[in-house]
Order: sequence, then structure tokens, then C-alpha cells
Amino acid sequence: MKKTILLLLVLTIAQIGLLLADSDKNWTQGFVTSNPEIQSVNAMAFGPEGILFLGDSKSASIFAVTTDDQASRSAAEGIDLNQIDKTIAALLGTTADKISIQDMAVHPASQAVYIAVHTEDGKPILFKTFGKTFEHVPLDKVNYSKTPLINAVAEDAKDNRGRSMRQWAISDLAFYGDKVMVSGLSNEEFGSTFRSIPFPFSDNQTYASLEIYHAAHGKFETHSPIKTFLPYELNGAPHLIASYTCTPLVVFPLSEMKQGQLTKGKTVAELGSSNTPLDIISFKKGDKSYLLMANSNRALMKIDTDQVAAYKDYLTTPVEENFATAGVPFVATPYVNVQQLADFNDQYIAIIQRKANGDLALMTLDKKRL
Amino acid sequence: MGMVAGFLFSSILYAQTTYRLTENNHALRVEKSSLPSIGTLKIFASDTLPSVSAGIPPMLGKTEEEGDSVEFIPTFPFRRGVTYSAAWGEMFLFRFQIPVAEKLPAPELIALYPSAHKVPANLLKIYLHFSVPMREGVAMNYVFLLDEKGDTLPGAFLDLQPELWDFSGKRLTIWFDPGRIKRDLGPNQLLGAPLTRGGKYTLLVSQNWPDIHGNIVRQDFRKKIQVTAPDRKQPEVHSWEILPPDPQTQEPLIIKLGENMDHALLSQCFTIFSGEKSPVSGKVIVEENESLWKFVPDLPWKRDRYEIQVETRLEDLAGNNLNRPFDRDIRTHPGEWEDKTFFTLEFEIRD
Repeated sequence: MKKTILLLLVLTIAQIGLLLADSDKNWTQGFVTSNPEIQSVNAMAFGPEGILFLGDSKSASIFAVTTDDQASRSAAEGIDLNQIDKTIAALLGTTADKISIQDMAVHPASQAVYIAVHTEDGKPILFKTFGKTFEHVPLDKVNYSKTPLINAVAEDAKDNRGRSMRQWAISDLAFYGDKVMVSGLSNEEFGSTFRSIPFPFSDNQTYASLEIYHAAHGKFETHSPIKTFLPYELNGAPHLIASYTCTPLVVFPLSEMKQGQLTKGKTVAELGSSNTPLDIISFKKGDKSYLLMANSNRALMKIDTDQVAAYKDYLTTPVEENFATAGVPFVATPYVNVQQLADFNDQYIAIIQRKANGDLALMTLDKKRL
Repeated sequence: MGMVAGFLFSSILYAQTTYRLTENNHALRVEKSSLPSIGTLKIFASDTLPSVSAGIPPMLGKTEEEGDSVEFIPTFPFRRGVTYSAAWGEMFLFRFQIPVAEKLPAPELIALYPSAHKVPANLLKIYLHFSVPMREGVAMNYVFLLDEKGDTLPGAFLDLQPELWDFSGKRLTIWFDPGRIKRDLGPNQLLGAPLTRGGKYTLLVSQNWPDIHGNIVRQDFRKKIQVTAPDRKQPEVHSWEILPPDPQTQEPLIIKLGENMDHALLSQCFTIFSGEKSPVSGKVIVEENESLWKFVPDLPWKRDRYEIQVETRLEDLAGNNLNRPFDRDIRTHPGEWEDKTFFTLEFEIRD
């Protein structure tokens, strides 16, 4: 009896030890300080301890870079900055038409807004702002680790026959749990890849060839490349909420994504025509959760996540003819031409918006008003 | 008002400011003797000083005193063709410009695929090949679909960021809006497919598209296309005609594909294995509107049985690949799609 109790006690301590070890995870394991030679920045996201992940299509790699930002501002302080393209171009010694903003991410501790831009020759440059001026964040000497977007073994085997590597244009990137998730569009076949890469990086990458089928009203099935996505817990299980290049919103359980396998997404909404989804985030307002989706040709959309979770009548099932707009309802907010989205803090969402007067503005929106 | 006064003052007093750019335009060097004693050298990327209220900052860089001069070393290099204004504090000093590059040849569009003039109504992609790496992110300002009257048809292509450039920055893939091609999707119902069967169109890649150095394309490129019936059939590998070469030669192996295929994938999706299962190295040549695939080996062919592995991701012009059509009517063709990685074909070389 005593032995059993002792054993239980030992087990419990061991379990506590494991838990502690997990929370004490050494996220910067394997990091080095040098020039990572980042060639482009197509997508960004923050991970634990202010580690910034940068998706680089040109070098087909994901970089994890440490930042040393400290919490520094009052949470109630929003941002309202006009002409950010002109300002950034001026700092670079060029004009606004010669730069392009690639992505935005908000540092979870300092709430600094990080903005990646490309110059006319495609070189990536990183800036951050606390809401007044922009500060250059040099990328030529940083503490980092990287992982290549490796191809399947069969594909790599071909490279010794002088063929070009398969290329994926990184379309979105997120950190979830202890994994970096990244979606990429092929510049050849009509398809996308979705990678789930354990972090700290090792040689281990799971990638589902998310050549996801998309059923249009139960009549036609096509496969559809992913443009933007959000890892999100629905009904207690991790899911991916994703949007295709042709707008419909799909969900699929992460548990169903297996190495190299095709995964079938469930269409939950069709959100309009002649439109490309640009960005998707979630935010909380009180105890309710919502999705926000920015679009190339539609207003910023707000979607109740409870409705997504509760949506059983997936559009994969055949439905009546003339089934027009379908799925989970969305609210078109009054914000048009929103190009980038990020959750800023408990109170605000950060957006980059092209205003009616042509100005490109970085500002925060109060969640209470959304 | 203060600004204007500053301007006049400076143009009179400091017309003689002596400055020069150091080697490779690395830094701007201004002689101290030609400057008032107290101030800071600032450089703005504009031909006039922005008013303070505009909030436009000067270029990032550091200023150093170098003997008799003050040197401004920009964090990001001065760019060709941009006019810069130098200021001392808030006082305008002078303008300067880095001359536009040594005469680099103007960028050119050297090929557009598909090569054929007849294309299916559900054509999915076009490829643009340029002579040099191009400015990215601006394609939709230069690529147009025109109708027979020469009017631009809006919304034909998908405005995708990031754009689908290859590693070299010289080849761009552009998709026709897949939401409009996919039967029965909202955009398809509302707007129809971008191309209509029987229609005549022009693909226009307009001039002025800059390359990464800011040199621009000098000529419009037009390609007339005529639209045929949509292609909803998967390419049928086993109907391809294989023409084996003679042994001990480096004649090309020829495969007649029976239809026009995706140009980029044709050079990616085939691997040839010899009888000992070792891959054969060589060069792919694509001809006859991408309906003829040729392979020239680096070493002469042997008398042997060879295998051709064809990856199933190979697509025709409408995005139908070897596993599945681009869109499938699940009412008439229910069930799962094929999930193969490749198909294998065989041929034999003998006397």
C-alpha cells in the first residue's frame, strides 16, 4: 500500500516535472547570431517570447528571429497614422509607388506594429512603429534559426537531374501551439501546400498537400489553393479556418491533416465574387469570438465563430437548385480596402487601410465598435 | 512662411555649397566650409523639401564628420532616377540625382504561354517570360484581357499577392479568376467565365512595366486568342504516342501528347529511367504549341527498356491534371478522385 502511494507520488511529481519542462520550453534552441540572408518577406507572425516568424518565398525558408521589445505602452493607446507608404518610402529614400507592403504583425508584449516592405528590386525591409515614427529593424545581424520548405523525398531526388526546385509562394503563416503553420501557392500547378512545422525547428515537417476539394453547391467539385488561414479551436478541437483564392470559407480539423495526403475542407460560406481574401484573424469581444476577413474587393467581413462551429449543413452536401449565397452569415463592416489585419490587444484591432483619398493608413479599431 | 524664407536665403547664400557623391554613390560628402556652423545634414527623397507639417521624414542614414566634410551615409542606397534634396537643418541646400543606370537593355517580354492561338474557354493560366527580373506586385497594372472591340474586360485575372514569380524573377504565372471558371460558384453564376466559347480576345501586356532597376518595357505585347469549347477532360496518358529514338544516338525521344499542355509543367513532370532504374539525364524541349514533348539525352540511348514516370500534377491548359479534371460534376461522376503520384509509361529502344 505504501509502495503504491509512493509510486503515485513519484508519478505525480514526474508529471509536474513534465508540465514545467513544457512551459519552460527553450524556444530559442539552435538559434545563432549572424546574417540570415533573408531574400523576401511574404508573411509574418509572432510566436512565443516575441519570436518573429518570417516566411521567405524567394529562399523557400521560414526564419524565426528574436526581438527584444519590452512592454512599453498603455493598452488603451490606439494608433492613427496616415500616409504610411509615403513615410516608409521617404525613410528608404524612394517614392511610395516603388515599395509594397507585404505583411503586418503586432508584437504581443510591446504592441509595436511590425511592417515588412519590399523595395522595387524586391529586397525585404522591416520596420516597426509604436504609433508615431517608424524604426528600421535591421535583418542583417540577428539571432535566428531557419527551416527550409522542404519537398517530398521523391521531388528532391529529381534535383540532381538539373531541374528547378518546386516553388511555393508563401501566402500565409501562423504560430499555433508549438508549430509554425504555413500555406504556399504553387506557381505552376493549380494547388497549394500546407505545412505544419514543429518549433524549435528540426528536420521534422508535416505537410498536407492541401489540394482541398471544394464542392460548389453539391454539384461540382474542384480543388482550391489556400490564400489565407487561421488555426482556431472549434467545438473543442483544433481546426483550420481557411479561405481559398476564390473566396469561400472552409474549415477542416487539423487532426485530419496527414503527411502528403489530400484533405477535404468543408465549405461553410461563399463570400462574394471577383474577390480575393487578403487576411483573416479572430478576436474576442466580451465572451464572444468573431472572425474578421479582409478582402481585395469587399468590405471587411465579421463572422460569428459560434455560427461557424454550429454550422452543420456544410455546403458539400447537395442542396436545391438556385441555392444562391450560402452558408454562415457575415456582416459587412463599413471598412473597405483593408489590406492587413492583426489583433492588437484586448481593446483594439490593427488594420492597414487604403482610404478614399488615396492615403494608406495604419490604425486601430476599437473592438467594441466592430 | 519660414520655409519660403529659408529657401530664398539658402539659394542666395548657399548656391555654392560644394558636394560630391563618393564612389558607387555610397555616401554624400558636403564641404564643411560651405555650410553654416550649426546644423544637421538631412536628405529627402523629393525635389523640394516637404513642409514640416507633412510629417515626411528624411532618409535613414548616419552623418559623420570626415576631415573637411560632413558625410551622409544612407542606410539604404541612393536610388537611380530619384531626385534628392539636401537640407541643413530646415534649410534647403541643393538637389542631386543619381543618373539612371549605365545603359542596361530595356526589359522585354520574350514569351507568353500558352503559345497556341486557340485556347479552351476554361483556360486557367498564362505564363509571362521576361528577359530580366521584373518589379513584383504590379502585374495587374500591365496585363489586360481585351474584347474584340479592344475594350478591357475587368476582373478576368486573379489579383493575387504575393504574385507567382519564379525564383529568377523573370517568369510570372497569372491565373484567370478561378472563381469565375469553376462551374456554379457564385462568381461563375454572376459573371460567367472570363472567356466565352467562340469569342476573340487579345491578351495585352502593356509597355512601361519596370524591371528591378526601374528600366521599363518599351513595347506593348499583344497576343490574339480565339476561344474554343471548354476542356473538361483529364489528359489521357495512355493515349499518348511515344516515338522511341534509335540506339547509340542522341536523337530526341518524342511524345505526342494529343493536346496542348501547361508549358511549365511539361519541363518538370517527366523522369526517364533506364532498365537499371537509374534516371536518364538530358534536356526537355517543348514544341508545337506545347503538344509535343521531346527529350534529348546527355549520353546516347542504349538498347534497353526504359520507363517514363509522369507526375500526376501535370496539367493541360484548363487545369485538368492526370488525377482529376479541374472541376467534376459529382452528380454524374460521384466517388473519390484518384490519388496517384505518377503514371508509368514504357518504351523500348532496339535496332
